[in-house]
Order: sequence, then C-alpha cells, then structure tokens
Amino acid sequence: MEKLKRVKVKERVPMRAQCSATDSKEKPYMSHLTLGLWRFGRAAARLPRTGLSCRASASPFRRAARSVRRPSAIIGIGLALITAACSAKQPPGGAQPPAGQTAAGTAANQNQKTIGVSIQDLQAQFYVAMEQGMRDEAKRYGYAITFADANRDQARQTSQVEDFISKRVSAIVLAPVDSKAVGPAIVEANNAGIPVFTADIASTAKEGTVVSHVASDNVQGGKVAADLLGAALGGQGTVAIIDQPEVTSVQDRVKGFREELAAKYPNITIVADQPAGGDQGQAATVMDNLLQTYPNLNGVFGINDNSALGAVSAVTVAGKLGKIKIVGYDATPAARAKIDAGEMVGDPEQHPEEIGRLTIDQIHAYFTGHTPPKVIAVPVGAYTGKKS
Amino acid sequence: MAREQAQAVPAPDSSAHRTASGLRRAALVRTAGLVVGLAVILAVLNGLTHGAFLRPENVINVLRQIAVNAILATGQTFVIITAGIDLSVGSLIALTGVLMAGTMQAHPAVATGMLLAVAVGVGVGALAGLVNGWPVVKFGLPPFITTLAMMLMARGLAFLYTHGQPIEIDNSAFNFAGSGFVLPSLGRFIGIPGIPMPALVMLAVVIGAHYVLTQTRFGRYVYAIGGNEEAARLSGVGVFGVKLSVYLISGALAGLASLLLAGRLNAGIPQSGQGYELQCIAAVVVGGTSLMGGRGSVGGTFVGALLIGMLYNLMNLLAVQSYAQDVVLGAVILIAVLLDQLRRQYLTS
Repeated sequence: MEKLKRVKVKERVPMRAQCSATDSKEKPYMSHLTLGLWRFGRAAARLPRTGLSCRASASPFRRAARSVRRPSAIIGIGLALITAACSAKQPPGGAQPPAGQTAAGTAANQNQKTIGVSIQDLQAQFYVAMEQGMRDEAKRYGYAITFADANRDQARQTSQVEDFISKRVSAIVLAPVDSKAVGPAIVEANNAGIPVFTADIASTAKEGTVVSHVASDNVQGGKVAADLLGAALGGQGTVAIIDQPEVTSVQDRVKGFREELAAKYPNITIVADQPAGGDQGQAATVMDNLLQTYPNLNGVFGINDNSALGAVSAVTVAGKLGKIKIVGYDATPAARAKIDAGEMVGDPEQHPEEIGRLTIDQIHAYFTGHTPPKVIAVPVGAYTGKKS
Repeated sequence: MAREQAQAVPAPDSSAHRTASGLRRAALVRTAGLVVGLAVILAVLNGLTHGAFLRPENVINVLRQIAVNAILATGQTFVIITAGIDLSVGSLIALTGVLMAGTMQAHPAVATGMLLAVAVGVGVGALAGLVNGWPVVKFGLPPFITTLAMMLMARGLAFLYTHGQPIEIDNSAFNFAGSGFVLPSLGRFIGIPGIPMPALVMLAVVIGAHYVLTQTRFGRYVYAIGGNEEAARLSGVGVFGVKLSVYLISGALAGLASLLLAGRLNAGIPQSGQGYELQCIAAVVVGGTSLMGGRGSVGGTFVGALLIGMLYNLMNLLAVQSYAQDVVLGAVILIAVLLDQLRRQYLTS
C-alpha cells in the first residue's frame, strides 16, 4: 500500500518540474502558435453566419462549402487546444531549441542528450516502477527522457521507435512487447546509428544489435520461488504451475523453479503445468479445474502475481485457503497484502526501479565512451511478509 | 480558407444537386476543404516540433504507420455505408497473420511461400467475411453480433493454431512487402530510403476502393442500401449479393492489412491486432462516414486514418505522456462524431 502511494506521487512531480524548467523558454513561442490556431478556428467558426444570408440562393456547392467551414473551424479550435496542452507538457531537450534564444541557453540544450523509452505496458505496476527508476537516474545525469506506452502492441512499439528516430534521440530503451517481432524495429534504429538498450525483456530476434540488456535474473527468481514453496511444504507433496509459456522471462522462472525442486526437494512432484496468460480471471478458472482434477494438491506456483491471486480466489471459494500453499512472483502491493494476511506463502521480489536505474547507468557508460556489458542480471529477492 | 477553396470551383446549375455529378462535386469540395485545413495546421505543427514533423523521413514514417489502419478502415467504410459494422477485423489480422506465417514455414521457397501465403491470408479473410455477412443477409441478424462472434472465434483460432507463440517469418519477399522500399534512387533525392511498400499498397487500395464506390454500379448500390435498404430492394438492387460482398471486401482487406503487419514485424503474432477494429472504425467516423449508413467516402476515411496516425506521431514527437495520448484521441473522435451530427442537423434545417 505504502509503495503504491509513493509511486503515484512521484509520478506526477517530475512532469511539473520539467514544465517549470522550460516554461520561461518555451512558453512565448508555443503560445503564439496556439493563439494563431485559435484565431484560425474562431475565424472559420464565424464564416457560416455570413453564409446564412445567401441561403435563398443555396446551391449544392454552397451547401458543401458551408459544411466545410464548420469542420475546419472545430478541428482548428480542437487542435489549438491540443497543441496548447501538448506544449505545456513538453519536456526539456525534446527537440532543438527555437531560434532567437540566448547563446547560453542554446548551448545547454544542445549538449543535453535525449533518451527515448518504449515500454510494453505502462499500465502494469512493475513498469511504472521501472519508469520511475529511469526517470530518477536520467535526472541525476542531466539527460532528457521521454516514455511511450506500447500498450502490448508490437506494431505500435515499432512505430514509436520510428518516431524516436525522427525525433533524433541519442539512445533508445525498449521493454519489448514481443521478443522476436521487435527485431525489425531494432534494425531500423541500428541503421539510423542510434544505440538500443533493452530492459526486463530481451530481444531474441536474429537481426538487430542491442548494446546492453538489463533484467532480473529470472532463473534465480524461479529458484527463490521453489525454495519458498519447498520450505512451506516441508519438502513433501504435489504442486502445480500456473504458466504463461509464451513469455521468455516466464520460461526462465519455470526453468529455475523446476531445477531447484529437482535438486533440493526430490519428494515434491509437479503434477500440472497449465497456461493462464498471466491473467487473474483465467488463472482462477485454471485453478478451479486443477482443484477438481487433483483434490490432493498441496502447492501452487503462479508465474506472476495475477496468476497467484487468481489461484488464491479459486482456493478461497473451495474453502482450502491455508491448506494449499501459494507462491506468486513480483510482490505487487495486492500480493503483499495477501502474503501479510497469510493467504500466500511469499513472493520472489524483483527490483524494477533498480532495473530502470541500471539501464540508464549503461547508457551513461556508453555515452562516456565505455563498453557496457552485454547482459546485466539484477538479483531477485524474497518477500515473506511485513517485517515487524 | 475554406471559402477561397470553394469559390475556385465553378458553381453548378441549380438542379445539379440532384445529379450524381453534383453530389460528387459536393463531396469533392468537402474533402478538398478538409485537406486545405489540414495543410495549414500541419505547417503550424511542424513549427512546434522544430521541423521534425514534416521532415521527409518522418512523413514516410507516418504513411507507413497508418497503412494497416487505413486499409482496414477502407474495408470498414464499405460495411458502414450499408449501415453495418465489422468488429472482427482486428482478430482477423491475428488469424490470417499466423496462418500466413505457418504457410511460409511449411513452404520455405521464397516465391511459392509468398504466393501461397497471400492466397491463404486474403482467402481466409474473405471467407471469414462471408461467414460474417451470410447470417446478416439471410436471417437478418445484427452485424454487430455476427462480427463480434467472428472476433472471438478468429482470436481463439489464432491462439489454438500457435499455442500462444509467435511464428517467425523468414521470407524475403514477404518481409519486403511489409518493410521494404521501392524507388530508392528517387528516395535518395529527397533524403529517404525510398517509398515504403505498405504506403504504396495502401494508396492502391484507397484509390481502387474510391473508384469502386463512386464509379461503379456496385458502389452506388452500396450507398443505396445504406440510405434505405427497402427502397433499394424494391428498385431492383440485389441487396443480398451487395451486402454479402461488403463483408467479404472487409475480410479480404483485413487479410491484406495483416500481410503488411506481419511483414513489418517478421512474425505472425496471435496477440496482434487487438483493438484495431475500434481504431479503424474511429478513422471511418472521423472521416465523416455516418454510422447510420448511406453517406461517407473512402477519401474521407483516408484523411481520418491520416489524422489519427499524425496525432500519434505528433504526440510522440512532442513527448506527450502516454496516458494523455488516449485522452486526446478520444476527444478527437468525439469531436468528429459531434461534427457529423451538427452538420446533418444544419443541412436538414
């Protein structure tokens, strides 16, 4: 709960800070253009009234002409409002400085490097935290940074990379939507001479060069999950995995989980491994079915917290809460609450802020002439309840 | 601005508004007015982005990015003019995409793989369109329901076929269609790699569809059915065939759009195309086509798709926060539909 609050508050502060930093420079320039658009819209809006007087001689062409004025009027006014809103939000260094600035201001802006970040899903808590880590670290080095939400659509992410290239950013960070299909976008950035970094999810495409990849060590995270579940079961019993096998990071988690169980807990057997798309509703359905099929099931590993929380709700309905040990992954606020309440055993805990910070550190190293390592694995910890 | 544009066109005689050419001219003036208005706004916005927006490389970016949506929206325009709707196109993108990718994995030879894939993609799309349209024309089911059912089935089939995994495409001809450039020598002249293939395909589709809708008997029938289906039927229009055809066209164009998307990503992805049906309906509506049917144009739809694509591009260039982007897009759609309503009230009063 506390974490959620912190993230939300922090989210807003930098936006305002950025605006105020550029207000003095950008505002007069922007407001001129906005005003112009506004006037264009107003002028166009006035036209139909004069048109009304010609109504007696209305010909289809006049009718058509009238119908033209109103759309252009409203579109003009609408776009004026939009650009006004946009320009108020423009962060520093988003583009070259406008003409007529002082030499000092120009020099400062030209030296500032811009980093473009496209993240697969900015509605996920994990990525919001990662974004915050990147923002903080970029601020520390004095880089401008802009974020785009790919909304789980690889085509949209590819478009965003192209927009970053148009914008001539100095570096691009991707949290790819699809590990393979992200390839062509990386190639485009390579061709434009812009270095590409990946965070959280790696590119497995054959083509395209990535300078450095920063992510949790998901194999180790899977082992943490196995240890949590193994200890809770006392090394005995049957467990199920609620899986999402199309995601590479999840494949690593499951791999680590299986390896650790086989090595340390030979008396625990995995009886089922079922996909639920990482979705809470689907996971609840899958868990319902598992409870029917395996009435003696002792434990569940949900490959993310949505999967684990879905399992918790199904187990609650079945009245087996506490009897079936559940381990998730990520330690989101909702899962922490369940762990604190004893409904879940614990969670491997990733550090998304740390991933964000380390990614920007690699970019800084690259900008300053160093060669960052190809892969940076961020260790995964364990959350087992509120420390009292 | 709009007035100057309008006066440049010679006024037709007083009875012209009853003729097809008068209607066409009115539509032309309307579209021309939109384009001129856009040009002014573009110039201003270019200043806001300090020249990045209208740089040739960014212009071809936008054209390439809107290709999929514009092609989907073109098919959707046919359906919406008959007062129908096609909600299945987003899922059809996924289904035809993975089927094409699978076809090319089975046939690694470049030429045969490409030809078979195109046949499979466009064919399955067209077939799905028939399945959408048949219950509508035969039993009078609402198109909203039949295409919603297809949306679910196609998405499910795409996941069943792939087990949720993307299928890689390693076919140079196919990938060229999605991400290649033609006329590189001309492109070098203005500092771009060439004219992007998706943009070319899109222009061909838009021009072809515009021709069909405005210059052929079939096109006029589409409008007639949307205006008043019963009147069209009594006038001897083959409503059954025409209505079935518009769903077939929409489905086939979804297959074609899928080809460009899969070629651009070098993969057939079962998750792709989510929400695209709404994006393309937005483009159609912003382009001035009435959801009530009987009125609209492919030209307007193209402008609508262009406007939405430019808005996204512009907001990325201006670093507008991602959450705010959806707010802006929603507002633009609302304004467009409001306009549609206002203009119709204005014309009938």
